[in-house]
Amino acid sequence: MELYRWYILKYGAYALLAVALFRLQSIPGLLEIGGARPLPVAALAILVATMERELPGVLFCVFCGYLSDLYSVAPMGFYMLFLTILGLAAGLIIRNYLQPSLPIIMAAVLIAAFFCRLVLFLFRYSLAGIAGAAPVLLRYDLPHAVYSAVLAVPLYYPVRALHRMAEERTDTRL
Amino acid sequence: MNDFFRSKTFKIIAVLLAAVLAFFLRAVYTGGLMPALSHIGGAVATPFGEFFAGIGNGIQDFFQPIFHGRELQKENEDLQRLVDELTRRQADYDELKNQNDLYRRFFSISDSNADYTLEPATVIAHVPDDPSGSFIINIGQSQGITSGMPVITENGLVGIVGRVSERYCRVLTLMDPAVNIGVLDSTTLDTGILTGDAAMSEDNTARLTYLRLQSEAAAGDLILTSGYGEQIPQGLTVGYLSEVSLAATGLTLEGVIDLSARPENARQVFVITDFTVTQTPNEELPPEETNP
Repeated sequence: MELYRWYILKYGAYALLAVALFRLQSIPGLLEIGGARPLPVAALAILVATMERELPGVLFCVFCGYLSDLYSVAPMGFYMLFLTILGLAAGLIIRNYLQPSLPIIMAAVLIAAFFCRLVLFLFRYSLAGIAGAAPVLLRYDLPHAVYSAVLAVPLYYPVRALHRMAEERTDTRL
Repeated sequence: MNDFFRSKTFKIIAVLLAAVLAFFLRAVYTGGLMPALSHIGGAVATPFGEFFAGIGNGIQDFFQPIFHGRELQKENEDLQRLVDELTRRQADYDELKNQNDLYRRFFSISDSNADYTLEPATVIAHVPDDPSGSFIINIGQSQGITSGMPVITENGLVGIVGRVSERYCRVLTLMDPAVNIGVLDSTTLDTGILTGDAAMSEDNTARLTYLRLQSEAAAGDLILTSGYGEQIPQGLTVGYLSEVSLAATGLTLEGVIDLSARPENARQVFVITDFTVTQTPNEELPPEETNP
């Protein structure tokens, strides 16, 4: 029973954080720097996926993807699909071959955010036959991914603290 | 890692991914309509969105003079130049209007007035992953909103309705590459197509294409909607022409429109849900009284 209590508390806290970030990222002009707007919910999804086990990590990525899709330019389900795949891949690679340290997680967030932007760019511009859209990739999409990766820094510490606290309390990996 | 791919967990994740993929493909297939799952999210998020948008606007108002002082000064100078130019034009306009009224009455030409049915809306969120600055408003299908309806601010046309959910919808700005609108140069009456270009969104400009080669359109001309296509009424202010050049094909002219309405400043908008054009006959005057 103790195990489930910490399980619910930890994932409840992650979910609350995701909802708070979802609100923050859509407040007009709040997180905007030089025209670049970050996607902190995506950063949180990758962060949790690299720290937690596969199935809870994937489920959390689906939830974060759903939140990102609500107010997104992409079709509904886009972030659900790509964050889930990228979160699972990042989690498997980092846990099995690397260490979930801050620089590595930041790199994973950068790659995941830029990959999502790249896929969107291909569908919205390249495949739609819109010429001269390449500057968007450099002027908007790359700063967007870098900014999202930078936001992984303030998110890393509370997520790690929650993860460790739950592990210590239950003496097992949740 | 091989153990993971043989595990029961992997099979559950594979089924989950297949379900998400199916959901995504369905959403792509249905186009403008959002799936039921987004209605649930919208019903929860929209009321909070209005509250948080208010907080965001307050923060923006507080920091704007601090961080954007130079931009505001430049904008002020540009606006002063525009006021001077418009004052000069106003004098010409008044003279021409009087003359026009006289001719209208003389030849019994009727006025056409557009009646708009407007639905007021609040901007509750900005789309964080769209370089062309699209935003979310707090009305949707339940208020009779459908995809393609024009959205205006006090400065003119700001965009068209994109994806619609039960309680909210996304507004595509005029800088979105998916937006193509028939426009009219109010000075030369030449028509063209406004095409969004995300690469130009930093300057709040859009491209004007398919302007006829012989057109005398020039920088400073007012651009209005032409009303072709029946979805957007005629005469909505779009912006001012800032440059005109020969298109790459050499067959038409193209230009850049400095858009009047700025999506990042939009807080309250109106969606034109319906419009009708009515003819108001002018009072006929005896020719001897209106002899020009």
